Amino acid sequence: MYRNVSVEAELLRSVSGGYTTQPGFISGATVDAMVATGFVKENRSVAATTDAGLSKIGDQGSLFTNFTLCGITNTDMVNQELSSGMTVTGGDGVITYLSGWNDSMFGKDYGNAEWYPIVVSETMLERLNADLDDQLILSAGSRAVTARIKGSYTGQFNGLGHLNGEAVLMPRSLMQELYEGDLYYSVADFVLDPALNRNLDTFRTEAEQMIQDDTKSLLPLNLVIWDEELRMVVQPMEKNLTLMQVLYPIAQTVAFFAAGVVALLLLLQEAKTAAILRVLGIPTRTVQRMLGRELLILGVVGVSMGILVALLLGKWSTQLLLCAVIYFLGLAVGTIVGCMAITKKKPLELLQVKE
Amino acid sequence: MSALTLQDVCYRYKNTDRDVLHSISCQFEGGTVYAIVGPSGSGKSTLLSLMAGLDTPTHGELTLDQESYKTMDLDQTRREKLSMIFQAFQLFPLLTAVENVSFPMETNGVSKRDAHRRAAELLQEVGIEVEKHRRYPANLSGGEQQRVAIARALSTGAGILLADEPTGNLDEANSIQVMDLLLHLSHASGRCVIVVTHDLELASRADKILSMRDGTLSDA
Repeated sequence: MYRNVSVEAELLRSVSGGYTTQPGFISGATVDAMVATGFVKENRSVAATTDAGLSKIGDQGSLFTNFTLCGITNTDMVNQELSSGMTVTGGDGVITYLSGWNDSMFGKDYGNAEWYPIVVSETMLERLNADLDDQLILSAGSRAVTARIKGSYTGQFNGLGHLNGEAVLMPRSLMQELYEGDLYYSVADFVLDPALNRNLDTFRTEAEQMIQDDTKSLLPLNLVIWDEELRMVVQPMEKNLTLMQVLYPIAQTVAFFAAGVVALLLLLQEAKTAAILRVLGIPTRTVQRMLGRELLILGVVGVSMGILVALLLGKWSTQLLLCAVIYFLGLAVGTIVGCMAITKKKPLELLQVKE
Repeated sequence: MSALTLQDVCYRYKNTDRDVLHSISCQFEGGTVYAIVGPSGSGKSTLLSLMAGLDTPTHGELTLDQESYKTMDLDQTRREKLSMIFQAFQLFPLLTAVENVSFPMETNGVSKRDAHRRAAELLQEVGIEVEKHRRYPANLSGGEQQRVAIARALSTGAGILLADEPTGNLDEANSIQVMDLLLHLSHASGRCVIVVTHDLELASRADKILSMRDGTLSDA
């Protein structure tokens, strides 16, 4: 069950923390360290910086800087949704790609890129007087590189953190290459490896230590691990399952003996009947068979009804069948012992009135 | 006429060294009602158990119609030649009167229809009205239940009827009626009836009284 639960971890600004105008406040080193713990299956962090500018080639005078350059790996996080499926205010951005391009552009490995694919807003396209597939100059920190517009979007993204101006999206891997050690993140969101769910406490300890040791992030950070489902549901359920696994053989053993004892007691109540039958000349073996068969038939009917009810409730399993067999075996043993016991007694002793 | 003969019969319970029955020798003839009287613990029930073939004597021999108990199929003997009635009637509570009486016949291979017909005749013979034939034992009086038990005992045509305190649960009037019935059945059909009782007044109505004391049987 642990492996079926997906747990996310986030680095958020601490409530008691300071203030920054920068959209990215989480140090890239801290994000890299989190990934390096080995617990992270998917890094959905958003790199963000305002230290960037766009201009048309041959027209550096038209440098446009009122935007936040965001590095992402997929578009899953760009619009936040509530668990009910409703979108939060502003989370309605829709990207339209140049033919041949799609969401996968953000997760690709570009190697030594000669130009950098970006997605800009429709508004920015108008301001830049540009079209899809146009080349632009991207000023990234101290570098200037060629960018090509491979998509545009309408609406607003609300999953990229607090941004200054509009968002310009690019692959995070290329952004890391451009900014190297000066890269900061606005969102640090990690999907943890379900195979390591049992060791979350270790991850928590390591991550909190990293946060304490972090001197580069612009604001104090707080680690949040979204593991309620694991703690509130899966852990108690697993404890119950473990307990049931221990109790199950005990229950089966008890069922065996209970069936046997009940059979024995029911037959002992038939001792007088057995005595009358023997006095009437019915051979002892026949008496044993008659009374034993009666009880076993009742047992078969009872077990069959139980199985039928289980089937109707959709609870069928081979373990249920095993349980039924064990119960019936107990009944059979009790019946055999009971039949022998009631025919061992002297008939007249049972039929006489004791004074 | 059946004859049940005991020859030097002794009985001792397992793991004891004291005989409960000491060298009992006697003969029981058909057409006669015998009463065996004696105090509790004198061995009456043990003797009855041996005569019914439900136990084996430690020593001695029992014969029925000159055939030894040692060689006969005692279950078959109880089905065909020998039957018993008890103080507590011992009817099957979930069978009606006629079903109780027909049961031994059906066990012997008689068809259900014939068995029920014969059972009805026997019940009338012992004085049970037709409207009571389909009643369960719980809905019959003590005297009626004992009559049903007697009818059941007669159903196989057994020549020997062993009765263990047959009137123990009945009032005086019913006791006399049952005893008279046993006498009638014995004299009319030549059956041998052996009644074990400690009611001396009842015993006095029998054809012959035997006394059981400390494991020995003698004429009273």
